[in-house]
Amino acid sequence: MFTAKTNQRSKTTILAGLALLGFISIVSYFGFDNAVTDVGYRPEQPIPFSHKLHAGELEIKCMYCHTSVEKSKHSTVPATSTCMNCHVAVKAESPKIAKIKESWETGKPLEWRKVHKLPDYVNFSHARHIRARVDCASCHGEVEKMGVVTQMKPLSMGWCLDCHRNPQANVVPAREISGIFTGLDSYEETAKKIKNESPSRGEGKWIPMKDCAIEGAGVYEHEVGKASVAGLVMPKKLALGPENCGACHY
Amino acid sequence: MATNKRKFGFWSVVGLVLFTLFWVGLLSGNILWTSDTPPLEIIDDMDNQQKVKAQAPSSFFADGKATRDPVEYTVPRNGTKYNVSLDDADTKNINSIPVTAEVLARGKNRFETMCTPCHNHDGKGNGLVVQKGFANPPSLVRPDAVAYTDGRIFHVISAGQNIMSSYADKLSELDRWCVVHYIRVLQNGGTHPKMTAAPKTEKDNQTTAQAGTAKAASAQ
Ligand code: HEC
Ligand code: HEC
Ligand code: HEC
Ligand code: HEC
Ligand code: HEC
Ligand code: HEC
Repeated sequence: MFTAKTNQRSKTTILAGLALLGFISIVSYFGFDNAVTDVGYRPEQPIPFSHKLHAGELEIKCMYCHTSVEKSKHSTVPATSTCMNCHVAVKAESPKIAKIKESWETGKPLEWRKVHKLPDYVNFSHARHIRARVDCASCHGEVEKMGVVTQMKPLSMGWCLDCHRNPQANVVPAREISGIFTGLDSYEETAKKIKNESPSRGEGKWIPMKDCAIEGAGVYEHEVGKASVAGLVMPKKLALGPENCGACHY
Repeated sequence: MATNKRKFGFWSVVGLVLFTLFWVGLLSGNILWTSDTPPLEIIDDMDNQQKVKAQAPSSFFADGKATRDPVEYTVPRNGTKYNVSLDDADTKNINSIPVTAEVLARGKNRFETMCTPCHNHDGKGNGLVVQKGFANPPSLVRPDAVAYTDGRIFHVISAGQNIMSSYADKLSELDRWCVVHYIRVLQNGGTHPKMTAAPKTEKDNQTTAQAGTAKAASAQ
């Protein structure tokens, strides 16, 4: 009834349709995953501030500007006054500094654009990670080599969990450029310790979850190292990160 | 007909290879391109909640800032406001922090973070920022500075001096005293003059002493 040509055409149409369907589902499944959409986000900032110059060349430690990382959840972007510590004298007449000066004189804050953003329902704390001597580079890449800050990691739930389950492979130990306090150990010793002593999944005391419908639910609990001496914040021994939902979700 | 078919097969193979390479490249986690537009959010579950967030703008306050400035004439609950004058600095700032290995390690860490851009690792000045045009500070290890009381050095860190601004917002009071202790280590060539409490282990002793002398030596 059908000619050979029609037969051929309908076969091609079906194949093409299937291929298109496959393409669309791949694009919609992976294409909108944060690993693809978030990584590489690099907004232009109001001032051409360069980490490559300040942290890379001038070797200013991250914590000179991002002071609150070891104490709070939020890692503050520095106030205008921090820039003016140096720029009262250095390059004070440069047009690139004009906006900072204006902000300094009027008290109106600079509006930096936020790069890394977790959804607001996620509980993330910088202090906890920094005190465990996890370096900034584990989560932000090597910022001291960036002219413009770019998001290097997906910040997805799977990414957080990958490291919490297997810190050995994912943690970059504290580096000198970050200015993270490593207590009595030097940075080299810290790196060695984290490599040799970081726990693996399944270590620690297993605490079964009470009244939970899911069989075998529970968490591993780890010994928490000494965290302060005479009021001084001291770094903690690296433990496994949590996997229970309540730790990261309010 | 036969040639046509072969052609079709060739181009479909090329297409398939390119297509596969494209997706493998994209999904392998390497950044192929960067983007200035914020990540796409198709379904905004509860990603952006209407609440006050640190350092975010807020339409609630007249000045548009969510982070509030402290009310005038108030001090933070666990903080203090430094208002000792230079004349009183010697007598009013009393250093009551004992010299321990932990305190010196903390002092070293904070000094390296906050002061080295200008004062350099050895305290002699000419740090990397000074080399780019900032005023060169006087050496912190010269005899004059050795003669300063702890309170005087604490005063400079807390209130600033001429072109050097205050570091009270970056260093807690405890941290500032730790830095003062560490400056004494620099002045004394790697050990603290009042290192009374013997370090707990031989290793601790070595690391603090070595850290100090190594920096001093590298400067010469
Ligand atoms: C001289 C001060 C200064 C130093 C030193 C510095 N930063 Fe920054 N950082 C800033 C400013 C200002 C911004 C906001 C503008 C921008 O994003 O470029 C920023 C932004 C960032 C951001 C992006 C924040 C966001 O919106 O998500 C990260 C991550 C970051 N810094 C990490 C680092 C790390 C890691 C180091 C050390 C290698 C470092 N910074 C050193 C001043 C500094
Ligand atoms: C510790 C000192 C220090 C701090 C703090 C600092 N800068 Fe700088 N910055 C420098 C120096 C030094 C240079 C000049 C380097 C040179 O001459 O090549 C510079 C250069 C710059 C330039 C390039 C100026 C030009 O005309 O080429 C910009 C823009 C800039 N800084 C922005 C900032 C901002 C914004 C901040 C606050 C977040 C900041 N800086 C904090 C030391 C500092
Ligand atoms: C364990 C991973 C991790 C480490 C380690 C880490 N960060 Fe972050 N950082 C994040 C995440 C996730 C965000 C986004 C937070 C949000 O949106 O609430 C962020 C945000 C920031 C911001 C933007 C302001 C904010 O808090 O939202 C700055 C600045 C920053 N980080 C600097 C640093 C510096 C400097 C270090 C090292 C001293 C560091 N971070 C270490 C994961 C990390
Ligand atoms: C590079 C590795 C790494 C990454 C990435 C990482 N974490 Fe962690 N996290 C750790 C480690 C290690 C600890 C345990 C710290 C300790 O020993 O106290 C931890 C601890 C925590 C804790 C403290 C748990 C508690 O009981 O208070 C929270 C919350 C947390 N992480 C959330 C996150 C979230 C959310 C993300 C993703 C945005 C994330 N982490 C990404 C390594 C990581
Ligand atoms: C290590 C921290 C961490 C733990 C533990 C964790 N989450 Fe998450 N979760 C996240 C982060 C970060 C995101 C946001 C990812 C993103 O930006 O898409 C998230 C997102 C989610 C979302 C929203 C996904 C979406 O796109 O709407 C759900 C639902 C969720 N988590 C459920 C859970 C459940 C259930 C558990 C316990 C089994 C759990 N989470 C444990 C960090 C965590
Ligand atoms: C931006 C560069 C810069 C930074 C960072 C800096 N200083 Fe200074 N400092 C100076 C300059 C310049 C002077 C000289 C001020 C003057 O003219 O009286 C000075 C003076 C001093 C003096 C007085 C020296 C004397 O003999 O009068 C002390 C003490 C001091 N600084 C300690 C510190 C400590 C401690 C830190 C770290 C918390 C620090 N400074 C960080 C630039 C800096």
